[in-house]
Amino acid sequence: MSKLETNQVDPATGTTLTLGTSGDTIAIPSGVTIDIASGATLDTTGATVTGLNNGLTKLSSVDTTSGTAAVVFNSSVVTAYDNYLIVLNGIKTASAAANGAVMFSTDNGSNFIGRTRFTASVMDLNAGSVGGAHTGTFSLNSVTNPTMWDNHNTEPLCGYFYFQNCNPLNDNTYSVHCNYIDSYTNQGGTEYQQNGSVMYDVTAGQQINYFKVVNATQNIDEGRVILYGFNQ
Amino acid sequence: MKIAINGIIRECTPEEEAKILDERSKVTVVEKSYSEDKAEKKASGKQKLKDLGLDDDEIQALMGA
Repeated sequence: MSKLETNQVDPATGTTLTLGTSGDTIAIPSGVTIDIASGATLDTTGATVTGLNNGLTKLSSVDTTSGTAAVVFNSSVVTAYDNYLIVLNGIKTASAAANGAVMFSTDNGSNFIGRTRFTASVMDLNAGSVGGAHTGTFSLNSVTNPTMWDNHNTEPLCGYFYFQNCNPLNDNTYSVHCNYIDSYTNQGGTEYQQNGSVMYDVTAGQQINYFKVVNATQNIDEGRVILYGFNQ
Repeated sequence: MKIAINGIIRECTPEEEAKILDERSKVTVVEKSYSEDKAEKKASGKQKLKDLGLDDDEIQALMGA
């Protein structure tokens, strides 16, 4: 291996300097600091960023198209974070009669974990009143899931879903929690906000490694789904 | 029918599509949604008031329904 010693490398032509070729690895030895000066930009748009232990890490996102039966994030991107945030933006479905949920598993989608405790409160955004408790559930993939939202075919759903304690260390019961808020137009044409909590039993030592965003019976026709991870 | 996996949308394989359709055929709504429950309670409450002898105008004045 030859060693190049110089103080600066600039492009021979133009303004782009390329290091390596596709498939190569640029190794930075231990003890080396990469110092990015004020005013510079580190642009990772479209890149996969891994190994950052602090802060919110965008793991994957998708802009759904007509006829999407389910949005899945599997063990290739759901990789042992303590907490996950799933954001749904502008989701519409093929029909205004669909109930939806975010499901998860610890065996890459073979078996899903059903809810153990769940309720949600709803507010009627049209009437400006509290709509009462919402305890609707549906059974899918042989487990019982909370109905976290309703869908409409022309009015969008937006919401965020925090899954916390996704690598439970000690507790087997009520170990993983999901707290969420979303707003949508329900199948009856009324605008609601739903604010809910779900508790799941995940055995200590197991890890969530699969999420599935799904409606009970309807395809998703449009909207963006984004998965983030963050550690303690 | 499509499926999105880790940001990539593709057509379902025949096996995936069959599994999804099978899952959907087994979906059961365990409890009513709040909107259905609210509408049914409104109708049953109105009927009870009628059974007590109130006419439609009186019920309208009481509950706006």
